[in-house]
Amino acid sequence: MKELYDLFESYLEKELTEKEIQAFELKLKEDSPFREQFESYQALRRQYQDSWKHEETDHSLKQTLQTLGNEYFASPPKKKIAPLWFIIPTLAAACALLVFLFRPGADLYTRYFQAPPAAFTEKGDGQQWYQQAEQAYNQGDFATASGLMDSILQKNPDAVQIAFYKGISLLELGQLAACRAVLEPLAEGTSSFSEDAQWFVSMAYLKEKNYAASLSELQKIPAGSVWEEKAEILKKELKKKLK
Amino acid sequence: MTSNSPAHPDHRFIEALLANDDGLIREIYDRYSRETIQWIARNKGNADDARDIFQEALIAITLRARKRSFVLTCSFGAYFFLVVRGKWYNELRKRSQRMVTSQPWEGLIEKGEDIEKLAEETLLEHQREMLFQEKLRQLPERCRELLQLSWKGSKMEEVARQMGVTYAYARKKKSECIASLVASIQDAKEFIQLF
Repeated sequence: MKELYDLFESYLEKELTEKEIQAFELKLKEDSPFREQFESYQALRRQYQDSWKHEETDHSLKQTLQTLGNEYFASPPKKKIAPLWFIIPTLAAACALLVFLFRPGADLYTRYFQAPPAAFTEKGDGQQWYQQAEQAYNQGDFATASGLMDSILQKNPDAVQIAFYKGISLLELGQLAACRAVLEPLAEGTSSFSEDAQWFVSMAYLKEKNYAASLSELQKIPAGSVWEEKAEILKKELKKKLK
Repeated sequence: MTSNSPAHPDHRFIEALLANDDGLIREIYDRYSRETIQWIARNKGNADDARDIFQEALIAITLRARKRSFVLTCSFGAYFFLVVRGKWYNELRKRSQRMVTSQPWEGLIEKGEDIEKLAEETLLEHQREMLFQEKLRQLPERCRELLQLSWKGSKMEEVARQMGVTYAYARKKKSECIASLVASIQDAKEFIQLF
């Protein structure tokens, strides 16, 4: 094989005489196993050359990825990567106790429900709608937001994030059965919104004062969830109501 | 995924990887890191695994994008998650765990032969690259130096001079190094699956 590779190299490095080149190229034409060996060898050689050519840029890219990776995937991951509004449930859980102490007569739903602000990261067909829907939602115009989200979902039925905010909009609008019809599949699914959807399904029952169903939905929130602490406090309150 | 098809707006992420544009690459992390962590966690991994797989998938995509100019015609998320999924399943296989196929990645997985083929090619090319680099690293240092000098474009006279050996020795040694490299790649257990 050494002789063969020596020949391949001589050809690729243009070290052969005119006569030798002709003989080599004739063999390539007529001898298919030879041609296959040469082509495989050439591909391998090219792959190494390509790697070396991009050595510096690859190194810089890896450094960028490592820096971002450490920032976004540090343990515990949720704290590092959670959007701002994910901090709210934790703070809200602490505040809920205070609220409970000082506003004992307030409705449970009013005390526990807090709409997450929207910042749409998924983008697909109908991009203009994403911005308008986000704006309408954040301004509290849930009817307009809901209509725009319907348009997005028609074009992008798999837009999980939009489906989630559609569910919240319906909750705000008091369309509770429709809200649950949107959020329940998300809660049962494996997307990153499943735990959030689970919390808001519980909120949808709480809003209509169906405490038993609300409690039952809260019990589905897994340990370690960002909602766990808040859910535990609410569960105690619901159990008292059900006594 | 051909250059004749119109580009998806997400093609900018491919450009960002090729140009190491850290602002736009950060957007990739903003969009997909959370989902990746959760999916990996449901499939027997942890945040460190998610970080490594996320990075490897981006490197694989960069490699694919560089090899042949291609235009991304589907969403980046859909393509990216297929590559992440393939990478993680390969990793689980390596760790001899059973694949967990009952935990689908809902939402961003698009169905389509084109995108699945592209993801498969991306994974294969990256695996090949990793195999090539591993086998190169296993060669004696002098072999690596010789091949690198020569394949980077130096004439053999110059290679011989830089290495302090005769031209005839450098020629002979180069053929031996190539034969050894090719044999070790062909002997690798994954060779048949990758070529």
